[in-house]
Amino acid sequence: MKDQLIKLFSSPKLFVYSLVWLMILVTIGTVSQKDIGLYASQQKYFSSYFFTFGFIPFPGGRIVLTLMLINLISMMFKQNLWKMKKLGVIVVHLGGIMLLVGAGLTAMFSSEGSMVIEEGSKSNTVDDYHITELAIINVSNPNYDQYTIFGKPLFSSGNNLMHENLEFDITILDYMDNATLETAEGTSKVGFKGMLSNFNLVELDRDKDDMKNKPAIIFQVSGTFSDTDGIYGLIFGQSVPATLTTNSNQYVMALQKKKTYLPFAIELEDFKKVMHPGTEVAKSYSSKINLIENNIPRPVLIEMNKPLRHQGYTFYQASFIESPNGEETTVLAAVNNYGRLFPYISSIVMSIGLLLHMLVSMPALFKKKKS
Amino acid sequence: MIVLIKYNVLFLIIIFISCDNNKHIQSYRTPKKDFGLSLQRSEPLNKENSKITTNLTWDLPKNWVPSSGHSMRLASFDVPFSNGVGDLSIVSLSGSSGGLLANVNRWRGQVDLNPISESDILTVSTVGESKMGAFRIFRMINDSNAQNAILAAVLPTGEKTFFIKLTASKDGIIELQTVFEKFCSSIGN
Repeated sequence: MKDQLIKLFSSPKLFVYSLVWLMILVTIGTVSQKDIGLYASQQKYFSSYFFTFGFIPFPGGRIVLTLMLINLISMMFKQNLWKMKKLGVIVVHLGGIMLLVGAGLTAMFSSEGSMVIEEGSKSNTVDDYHITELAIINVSNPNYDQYTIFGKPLFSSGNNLMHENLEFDITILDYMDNATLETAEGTSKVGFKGMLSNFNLVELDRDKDDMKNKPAIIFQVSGTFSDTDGIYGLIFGQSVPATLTTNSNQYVMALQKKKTYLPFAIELEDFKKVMHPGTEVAKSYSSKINLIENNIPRPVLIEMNKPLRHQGYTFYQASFIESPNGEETTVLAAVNNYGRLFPYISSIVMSIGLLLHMLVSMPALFKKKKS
Repeated sequence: MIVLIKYNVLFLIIIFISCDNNKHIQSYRTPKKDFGLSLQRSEPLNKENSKITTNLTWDLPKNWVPSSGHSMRLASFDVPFSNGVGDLSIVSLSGSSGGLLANVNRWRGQVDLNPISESDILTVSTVGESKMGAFRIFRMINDSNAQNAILAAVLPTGEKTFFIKLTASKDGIIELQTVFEKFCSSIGN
């Protein structure tokens, strides 16, 4: 049994079947984008270990790629591979392993989000495009704000959230990927606090464009043993902050996109845009920024095809916002991808491997021709 | 070889288990940020920016017609919409003029809505920015009283608070909300 398992993991057939399944996944994923959108399709078929069609589970992209990596590494331990004439094959396998390790690093550690900076102001936070989090912010201290963050995986109904920073417990009642507010006139709202005392949160179908979805959460606050205990609701992007006051502290609560704090700041000095003549369509735009690190500003120009790369982050000029009174705001796309160089390096390694294999095999080919 | 493969599989499993960088609970401190909580009270936003004035200026929409109003009003306008004409008034009162909550509940009472509590003030309003500072807009619509609805903006500026109030039917308020917000944003001195 053990031997069979080992044989299976190191079998070239496993790699070929995995490759075929990947092709099928790519086809299904591409077609399903039409109905569920790019992000949801990517999450369902490629970033998952398993997905289901009806009740039947199928292996997702991550499990297939993991199997391929195990298979390639196992192949490297085969005794009959380590021969001079198979040098090229070994190098190609190493290239494949590097490619898959890079894919793993990207899947696990990469992040992408946006940095929105008004002219004359600076920012050191990146808001993730997709990942949502619940932020409970204690604003009582005059010197700082104390954030306690709960991530989306904790938002299943009935889940209790506690933290030593909080004087109360939170019980998740409902989480919606996309929701809207409706006035609650005429309905009984006993026990509901804040926004929910006047509005209802109504779940909507998920939009294909994930950026258009407005997630919402409903939760119960308990443990303050005061009028503060009750049911609260938050929706992403609400213009008015939700507050909660206990005997000793005041809190602001928000459902926000996951924030990443950078060890440096970017200050927007000037934003420039060039329009196509006679149209309102932007031809090019650029941001003249100061990269501030250890309080030392360094001027940098970020243009549409000239991103800023710094400390593992790449900042692209993505968009801009122009207010009616002419104030300009730049929108930078911030990408942090530790596996960025792996595809390039592994491609070079595999090319070298193929070349070596050709060189090693050449004498044998000529011999065959002569005979 | 078997041992090596075992380690290989074990190594990968450990990598994938330990690679979850999505820390689900985090805690950190940041420098103070303005969450706009000061607008919850109808106190001056910023004393340095406070101005005592009645000489207001604004960008008047073309179809708004000045009308004669109550003597307390700084200005009155007839505001036409698709199915009628609304009444817009601008009033200034000293200080917080009885408090934001009292005023909001008075307006809510005028359209037969239940009063709200202090903690709910923020949740039933939106914030705008005028040339004189930030203002807060309250929309009071009662579905069972569709003929009477109110859109009101409260603009605290130091020793005076300006109230811009639009009265119309429910449909009128919905139709006029954008232009009302634009008008409030244009108010300056």
